[in-house]
Amino acid sequence: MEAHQGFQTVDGHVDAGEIRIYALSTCGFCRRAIAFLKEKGVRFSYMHVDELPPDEKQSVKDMIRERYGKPLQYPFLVHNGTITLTGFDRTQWSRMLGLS
Amino acid sequence: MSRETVPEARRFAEMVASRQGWRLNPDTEFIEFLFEGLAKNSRRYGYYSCPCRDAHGERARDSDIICPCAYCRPDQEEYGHCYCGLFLTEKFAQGGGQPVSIPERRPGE
Repeated sequence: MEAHQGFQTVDGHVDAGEIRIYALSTCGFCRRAIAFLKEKGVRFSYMHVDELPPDEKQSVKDMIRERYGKPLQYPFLVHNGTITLTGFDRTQWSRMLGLS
Repeated sequence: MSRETVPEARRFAEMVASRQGWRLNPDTEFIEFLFEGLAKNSRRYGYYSCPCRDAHGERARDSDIICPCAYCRPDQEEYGHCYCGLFLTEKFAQGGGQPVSIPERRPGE
């Protein structure tokens, strides 16, 4: 489990493991990524980092850097708490999540 | 002149593209969302910070990511479009390619 709250859960009939998306409410590729998961019927959670209060936002960024050893760029996918992908590539995301 | 509305953001992007000899992404739904993002950033920060990067909210710290960002040209040279997929080179647009997520060029982010 991530240490931070603020995630919104999108229900779906496909269980592809725990999927958490760190996104910006203004980012086109973030929107595409979220739309892709919805289209696939996948259950996932996401947060819009830009809409967090400044201290919480910094805390999320610090956590990502500390836990995954990389900066938070968007969209940022965390699969089962361990594997991460930065940016949205439909083929790459499909492969990682086992989606056809 | 207000720069906080979506039509203003659209006009801004069209003006930048025209002056620089760039093309806007032809995916109108995609770029309308980016215009909304630019307008939202203008409302909350007071300037058009890149909608695909998280801004600090201080103009001086965000100066390199105020649209068009400092990384736009090198990204266009390497990938044919900017980080957000908003501004395309003429060559990329003519080739009919679709902008995709590209690596972040901004140092330290």
